[in-house]
Amino acid sequence: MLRVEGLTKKFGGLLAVNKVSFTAHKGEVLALIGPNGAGKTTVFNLISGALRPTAGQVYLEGKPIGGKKPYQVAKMGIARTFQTTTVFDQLKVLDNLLVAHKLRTSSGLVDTILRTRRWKKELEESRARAMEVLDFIGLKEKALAPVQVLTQEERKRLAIGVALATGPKVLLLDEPTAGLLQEETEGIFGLIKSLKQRGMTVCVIEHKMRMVMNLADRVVVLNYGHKIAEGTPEEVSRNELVIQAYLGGEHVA
Amino acid sequence: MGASGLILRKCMYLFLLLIAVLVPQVVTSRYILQILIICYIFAVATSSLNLLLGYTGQVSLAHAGFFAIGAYGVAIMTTRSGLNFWWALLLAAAVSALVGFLVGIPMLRTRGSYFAIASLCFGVIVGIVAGSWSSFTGGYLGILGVPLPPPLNLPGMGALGFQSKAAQYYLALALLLLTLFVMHRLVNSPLGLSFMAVRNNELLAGAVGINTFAVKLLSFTVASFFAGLAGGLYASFMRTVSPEVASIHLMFNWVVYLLLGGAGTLAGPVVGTLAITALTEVTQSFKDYSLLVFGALLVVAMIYCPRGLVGAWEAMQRRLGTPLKRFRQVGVRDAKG
Amino acid sequence: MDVFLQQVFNGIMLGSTYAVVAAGLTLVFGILHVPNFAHGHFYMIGAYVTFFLVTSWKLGFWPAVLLSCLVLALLGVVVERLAFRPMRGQPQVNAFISAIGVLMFLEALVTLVWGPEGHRIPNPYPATVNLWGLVTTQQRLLVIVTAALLIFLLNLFIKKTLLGATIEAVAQNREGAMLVGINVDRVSSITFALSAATAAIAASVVAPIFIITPTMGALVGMKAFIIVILGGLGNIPGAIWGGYILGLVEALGGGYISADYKDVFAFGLLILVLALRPAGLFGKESS
Repeated sequence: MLRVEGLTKKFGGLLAVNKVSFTAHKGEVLALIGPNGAGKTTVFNLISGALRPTAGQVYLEGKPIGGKKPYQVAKMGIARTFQTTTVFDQLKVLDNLLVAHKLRTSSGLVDTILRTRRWKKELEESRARAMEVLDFIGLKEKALAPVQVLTQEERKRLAIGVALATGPKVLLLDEPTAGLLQEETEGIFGLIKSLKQRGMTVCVIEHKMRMVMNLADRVVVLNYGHKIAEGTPEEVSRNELVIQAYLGGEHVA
Repeated sequence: MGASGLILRKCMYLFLLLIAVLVPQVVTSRYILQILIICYIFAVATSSLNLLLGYTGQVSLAHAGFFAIGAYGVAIMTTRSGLNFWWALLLAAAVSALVGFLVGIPMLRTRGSYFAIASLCFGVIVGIVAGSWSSFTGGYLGILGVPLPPPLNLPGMGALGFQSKAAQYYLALALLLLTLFVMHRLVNSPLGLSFMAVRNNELLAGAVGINTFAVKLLSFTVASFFAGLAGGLYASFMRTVSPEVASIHLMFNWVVYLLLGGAGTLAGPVVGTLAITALTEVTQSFKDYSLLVFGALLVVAMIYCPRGLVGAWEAMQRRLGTPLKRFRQVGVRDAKG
Repeated sequence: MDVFLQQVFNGIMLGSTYAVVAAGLTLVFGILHVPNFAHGHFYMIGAYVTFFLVTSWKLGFWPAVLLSCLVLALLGVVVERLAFRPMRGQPQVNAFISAIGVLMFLEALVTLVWGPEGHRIPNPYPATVNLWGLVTTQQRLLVIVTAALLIFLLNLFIKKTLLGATIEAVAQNREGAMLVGINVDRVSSITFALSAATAAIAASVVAPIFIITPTMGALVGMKAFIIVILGGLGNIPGAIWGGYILGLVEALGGGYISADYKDVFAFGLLILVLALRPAGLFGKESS
């Protein structure tokens, strides 16, 4: 599904990501873990087109996507969320999803001004899709609420919803539970689980090891921009290099 | 929900429209009508600026330049080539949009203050060219004798001339309504949401598949079109153009109208233009101090009330929770009807 | 050849003014990240205050310049406090719009007090000098010398004094500066004072050569912005060199190509450069 090959990024003289390769198979949850500054978010930025790779290539269903702009990558079917929860906080909940689904529509300026049949049909489709997503993320009652009234956890759900509304084949989630309380984290866990049940391919950056153990089919471990291990959660947790990396770092799982 | 609110809201708009239509029947002062005509034209310019500044979040200071392109376009095409005013108006607005598109390509690569400066530079260049290219633009004297719109032959109503101030008033009002109609449809649509998404968070907008550059360019081009349209009508009604139409002071006035009225709201530019002009006119002695006061008010508005009068009104409605509160629920939801 | 030298000399004189004004702007825009679009209007007010002191208070030229410098320093502090400090932490363009409010206010104020017509500061040094065949006035030489001195002192201040080092520290890392106990508010005030005061001196020494009008600030302010963006935000040497280059380009372009379009060169150049490097010539490409 999503194949990353020899991905490398240099910032000046610093090698932030060094020849990282991995594959996320269709319908699996792949966790990207590693100590702070290991280059996990940089990998996401490289896949989603926010950064240009120095070397290496990313393939989605065999098609290369390296060097494309973020909006093109999104159109190809890779959606992402950001570490700091980002939704359009000046828009209403429903509008967040409608605007995210816009990339699957083709109405232009003239359609919009004249409200042509195509425009109406696409708006209906976008709404249906948005309601479906709202239902899925459990925010159906708040469709017309402004984002400001949402709780932190609801915003995280909405951020995932916004990514889903783009109609992705692969979902990249950057620390979806950062800053949440225990029971709120459970809620997001549940959401990712049901995504998996629906056959979505998910790559997730996560620090909470319990979540990684429960949820991930496979785990890729990064340290100082290198991939140091890959495998099932059990394999990775027994890996010497991984244990060392984490003992040297601040996280002890 | 919202059905009764919608009806109420439509009633209010109809009521306001009725007042606007009745004005020339009640007001006979040519002076007041002239002021209202200019107000409506400036409200068109301010509304189009609002699309960029209010909805797309791009502080463009090139707007007087596009207004000038429209004004000079109509003046030159009607006086030199003897083109029919209506065609000249449309062509001038199209030229304005085309120039907007072309200069937008390099300028919109910049962001924030840099874009503001670059766009201001463009506006000033238009003014300098208007003042210096004498053979084409008439230099600092400008172009005199721009014709009024020729009579329109309306089926069943005979020819509708524009000699009277009342007729000019209706034409300006029609242009304003057309502008507001287009803006309303744009803003209450997924396309309009994508403008607001760019304003809100460009990074996220890109991540959800919005070509942010294309969105900004579209917004810039549409805004230039309407600025050109406003400029063209202005030239015809003033019967003359001079480099004044490209002045940065005119531009800054529109910024004040927009921000005090309420950027990012459809009513804001109209409310701002009318309210501020009325305020300046009512107290004639105040005129001398007006820029002083508006400069200060602009700063105050930026600090305390970035969404202007309309924003303050909406905030009040929200707090009081009156039945009117549905007015503020603009959104794609309403687009159905 | 003589004409050429004359143009070069005029260019250096113009450039001296631009260099000082741009250096002042780069302090607030580049270092404090406040897009003070009203900076040109500080310059204008500086000229008017000197004019007022010389003609109404009958002060000598230099005492008037000095006092004008102090008045503008105060004005800089007040404007920063009222119009820009509340914009901190908001998108930069909000401060930009606020600056438009400030410049409208200042321009209207001057128009109200002194009228829209031009005024002239009596030229304190009208005598002509002959410099190797180049005929000029003492005042014009004074502009160049004063600017050079001012630039030298400004550099000395930034490099050698604790306060200067503090300003640089805030520029590099606001949070870090706060952590080590630097009072960012105080630094902002001082930077604005410095920036406005230098503009006042530049305006005061060049004003006797030209006519002063309430609108004189707008163009200078825009040009200062262009120089600062092209020279690199917060880069003082860049602003100074940029100032001299723009002065020369204008004088030569105005003299040999077209006087009407001399400003078009500068503004066109900016749009062109920004088209190729949207973050400015020395700006960092952010992702």
